[in-house]
Amino acid sequence: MSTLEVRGLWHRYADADTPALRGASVAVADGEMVSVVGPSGSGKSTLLRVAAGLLRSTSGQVLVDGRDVADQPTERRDLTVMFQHPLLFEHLDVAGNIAFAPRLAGSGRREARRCAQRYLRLVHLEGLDSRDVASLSGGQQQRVALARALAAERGALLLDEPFSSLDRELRASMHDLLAEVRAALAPTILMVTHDLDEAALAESTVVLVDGSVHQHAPMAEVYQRPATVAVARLLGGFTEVAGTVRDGAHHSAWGRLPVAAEAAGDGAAVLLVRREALRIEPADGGTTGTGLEAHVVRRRPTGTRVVLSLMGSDDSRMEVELPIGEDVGPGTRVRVLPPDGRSSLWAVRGVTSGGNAQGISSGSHDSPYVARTPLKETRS
Amino acid sequence: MRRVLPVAGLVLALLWLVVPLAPVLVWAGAERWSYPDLLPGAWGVTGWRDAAAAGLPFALLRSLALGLAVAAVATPLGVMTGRVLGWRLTGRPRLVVAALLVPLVLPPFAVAMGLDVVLIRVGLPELVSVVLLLSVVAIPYTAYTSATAFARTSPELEAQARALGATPRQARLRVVLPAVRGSILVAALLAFLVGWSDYVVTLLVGGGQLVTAPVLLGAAASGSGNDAAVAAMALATLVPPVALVTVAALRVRSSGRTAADRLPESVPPEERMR
Repeated sequence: MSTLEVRGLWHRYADADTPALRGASVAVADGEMVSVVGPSGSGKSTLLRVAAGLLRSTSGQVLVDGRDVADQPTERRDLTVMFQHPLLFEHLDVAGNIAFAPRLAGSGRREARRCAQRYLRLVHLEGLDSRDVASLSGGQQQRVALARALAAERGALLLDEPFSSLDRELRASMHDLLAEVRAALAPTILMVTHDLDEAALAESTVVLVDGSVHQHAPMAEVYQRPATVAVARLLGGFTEVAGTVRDGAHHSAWGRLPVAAEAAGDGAAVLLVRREALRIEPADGGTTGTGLEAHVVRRRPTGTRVVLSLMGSDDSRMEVELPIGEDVGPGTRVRVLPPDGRSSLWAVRGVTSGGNAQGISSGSHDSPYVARTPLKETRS
Repeated sequence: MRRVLPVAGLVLALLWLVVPLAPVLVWAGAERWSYPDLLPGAWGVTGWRDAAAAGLPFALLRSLALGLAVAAVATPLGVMTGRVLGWRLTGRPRLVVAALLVPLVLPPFAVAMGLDVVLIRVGLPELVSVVLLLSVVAIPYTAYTSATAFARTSPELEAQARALGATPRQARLRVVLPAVRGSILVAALLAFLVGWSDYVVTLLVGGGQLVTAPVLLGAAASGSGNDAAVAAMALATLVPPVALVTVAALRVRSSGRTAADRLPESVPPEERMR
């Protein structure tokens, strides 16, 4: 397998006012898997298509094993793509589909079908080589598509929301299969997905917003320390507290809250707190100091827990996820408390009108929210 | 009532087609059939002999060649146009559609005369002119048939083939065309029928030199008075296209049934991870 890197990719669709990609850069090491997430219209699929050569970039480089292939046609880029839909060739049987690339590469029919058998075993579909592809179920078709992409034996594999058309159970089984394939072949994979759990299968995740890379880090780090408010909003479940960072602490209506040393420097900053990290206590409990008086607007059960939507005394909105077994009814007045401990608090530079994590307005790139670090790779 | 109406409609449509053919069928086997007899007074093959003597076999061969030539020109052009329309590769689809409809909207006589003048001035041989003119008439059929097929087929198929190492040409020949082959067959059949059954263009542009089956039939029907020979010619002209359409329809039907049989099972046991 090979390394794959895109550097400073720009792309604008012919009928669009704004670019779909704005200098996006992503690097995937040999045998590594990197996922790309982002809101609808953020340029995820465009990035993948430009990397594959199915779209031409306005500028930028696509490097496969260090060789710039940006001017090469798709078939000469030493990479292959697996799309959301299996796109199997119905005039060929299962083995014929998998043998398609080896046949193009010059293998004889018998040799190519032997190769197909090997990859069929890998995706647990041995014995189905002569089956009509239209007779397969959706999951089986996607397995054949994966086997076909692997049989092309290219330097890198690009996956464009490959399992999003499958139901949850099948998707989980495809995730297991992908892990098996990675253990067996160690392919270099760049996967676009809208499923954050699926993205977490990769060693690291790129968060693309409005065509720009806002963060590139392992998923756990993205959740713990989102680089921008836009990243936090994509993940969901964050309460945004507008204020100012000064002397290592965030100052707001919530009081003075110490922030992590790596968080935003002095200036206007938004504190991002996970809803499960917030706590509540009765408003008349006598607690003073940090926290904010609020009343419960809505309660939303999510499995074993309840998520409260609250309106703060300063008219800000927030969400709190209660511990298992606890519940509070709408209208109750409570005091919302920030989490204990310095490590849980994270602030990013920027200002917000306050309120809870909400959808990101697509198409607007003049966001007031900027990453503490420049919009480039922040991999650890 | 809901079932009766469609069945009655179908029967009426069949009668509409079959009833005019009945006298032709009878005449083709009649030696003598005088008015007001309901059936011929004598049966025989004189009509067929007379038709053969008038040049029916060669006329049929010329019609076959003309139909194949028109199909050979109109099918690839129609498939290319259909790809553009079906996959919305043009920013002005209405313009393409309007251009395609011109030969169908205008009277064939006017189109033939207009284009004939152009082709004569260019200096093309009459036979080539006839093929080109009939291809212009056939292209709307081939283009629309292909456009429907391409609209049902994902353009991503081509991208997928390219991503697996196929050049653009290989992707089209090995993946896209096989995916729409059924519709291409139907398009070619329609183009063939345009060439096979044409009378006006062949007569006007061919200048009477290109005697195809319809031209021979027209001449015999208008002047010979030999009803048995005319019926034999009509039958001989009719049978090949009907046979072709029947074969094509059966193929389309069987492929449709096969596709229905191939509907995915819900979640087969093989689906589970082992």
